[in-house]
Amino acid sequence: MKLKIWKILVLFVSALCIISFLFIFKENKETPELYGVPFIFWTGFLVTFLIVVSTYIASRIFPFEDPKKS
Amino acid sequence: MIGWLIFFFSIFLGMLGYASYLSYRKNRTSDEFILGGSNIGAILGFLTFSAALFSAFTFMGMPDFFRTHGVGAWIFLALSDALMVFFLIWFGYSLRKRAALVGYQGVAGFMKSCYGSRYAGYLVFVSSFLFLIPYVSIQIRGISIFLDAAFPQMLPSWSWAAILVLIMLVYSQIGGLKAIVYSDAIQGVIMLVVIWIIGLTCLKMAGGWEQATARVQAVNSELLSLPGPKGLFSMQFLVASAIAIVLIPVSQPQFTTRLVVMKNLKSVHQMAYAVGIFAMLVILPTAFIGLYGAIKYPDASTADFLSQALLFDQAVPVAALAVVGLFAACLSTTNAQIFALGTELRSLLSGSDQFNMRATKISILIFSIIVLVFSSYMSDELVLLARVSFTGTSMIAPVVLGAVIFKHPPKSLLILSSFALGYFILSLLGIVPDKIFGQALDFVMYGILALITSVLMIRHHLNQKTLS
Repeated sequence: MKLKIWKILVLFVSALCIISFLFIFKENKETPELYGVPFIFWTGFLVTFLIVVSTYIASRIFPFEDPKKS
Repeated sequence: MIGWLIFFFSIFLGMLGYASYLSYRKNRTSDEFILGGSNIGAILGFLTFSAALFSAFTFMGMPDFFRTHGVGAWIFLALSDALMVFFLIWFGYSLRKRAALVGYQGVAGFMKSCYGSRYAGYLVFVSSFLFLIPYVSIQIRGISIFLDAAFPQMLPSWSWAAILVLIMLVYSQIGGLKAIVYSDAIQGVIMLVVIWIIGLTCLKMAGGWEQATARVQAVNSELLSLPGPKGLFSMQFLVASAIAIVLIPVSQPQFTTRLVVMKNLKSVHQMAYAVGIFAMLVILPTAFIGLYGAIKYPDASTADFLSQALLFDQAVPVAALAVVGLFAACLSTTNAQIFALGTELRSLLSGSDQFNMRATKISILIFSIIVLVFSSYMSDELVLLARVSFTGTSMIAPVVLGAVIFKHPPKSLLILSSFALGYFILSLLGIVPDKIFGQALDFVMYGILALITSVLMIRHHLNQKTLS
């Protein structure tokens, strides 16, 4: 189960990057703003936040044992 | 101001002295000196990794980057750092797995063991030396510019750099890696506190977030979108920067070593997400300072903008704390990198423990002098120079990844990385063009390297399967 979640997380982060760089972070795009925050800033912040949350989840479910311990 | 400076510096230096005292052991081995006993926990690990990563280039370069190139700077650094910490989850595990099998003294020695070739070790050492020396010099240059602008005629420009290197040398020679880790922890906390105080003050002076963005819009609306007013944040630049930053723990030995010397894998993983959170927390206030600068000092030079925004526009105690925070940020990155160069050299030596220890200490002294001299000749483009350093060291990433993935890594990766490193250096010297078919060289090189590395690794994997 842990291995499956880990693979899904890797897939999610990879897809998020590709989609962000190809379709979200477009040049000369300022809108829609979010509470006055320019589009590139809030979307960049959101993607960063999602990747850090994925890192947290990955740290909890990483499927392999500590090599030094084993 | 001077009174506050003396007060904060005394506290800071007292803490550094205490860290050195705690770390000092009379009859320690070179392993204890260089690898800190390989017993660093999650909190210390996260603070030392963060302090080594976020340096003067973050503290000074990023506000200036936001001011000059706009909000795309967030994607350039914060998003790339987030990707890097996610990558650390797998890389930390794989690296420790191999290190547990073949032993670890430093990346160069580790490569020598994994490839069974001295050339692999030399390649890593040369790459580290060539690109870390300019990177360390950037930090020292950064702090010298700032202090010189803040306190004109107080001391000659070079003496600020000399003081910093002297402090770094004294406590690292006394306490080794353990002292550096403790001091990094102190410096990480100072940096986070100071940057937030200054960031919030700047945001308040700019009239709050919504008013600040409206005023930036009026001054220069291109700052609020990609690629920024000077066209720097193109898709190619952002993607190539993200790859270079993700590969930092692979190709910069001060980070690779920190992953190995941590207590256990759980600590490495806790450290990874903590660094991600720290990255967001440190970079966000630099955006506030940068946008404030875009409104108030749009045409000022880097040094003038930084001395105004970080010092003269702040309350006196905050300004004094900013000087100490900057000094601390610069010190932590400088010591991590110079010490890493000493570690790398030592991992290639095969003499007695006493000889290795002496050679390492002397090499740290020599590297410090080289850095000090080099810092006098650096330009003021702190962030862009840092990026060149990230890109340069990342050319050896195929070698390190091959060693981590395979029991008997393919030697063809050594040829590939040597060629890539050589070509990149030639492009910096202007001997070969820095564009290929009109595309940025680093972007194209990453594409080619990724493709050839994948082909070589898949072929090697299939060959090994056939043999077994």
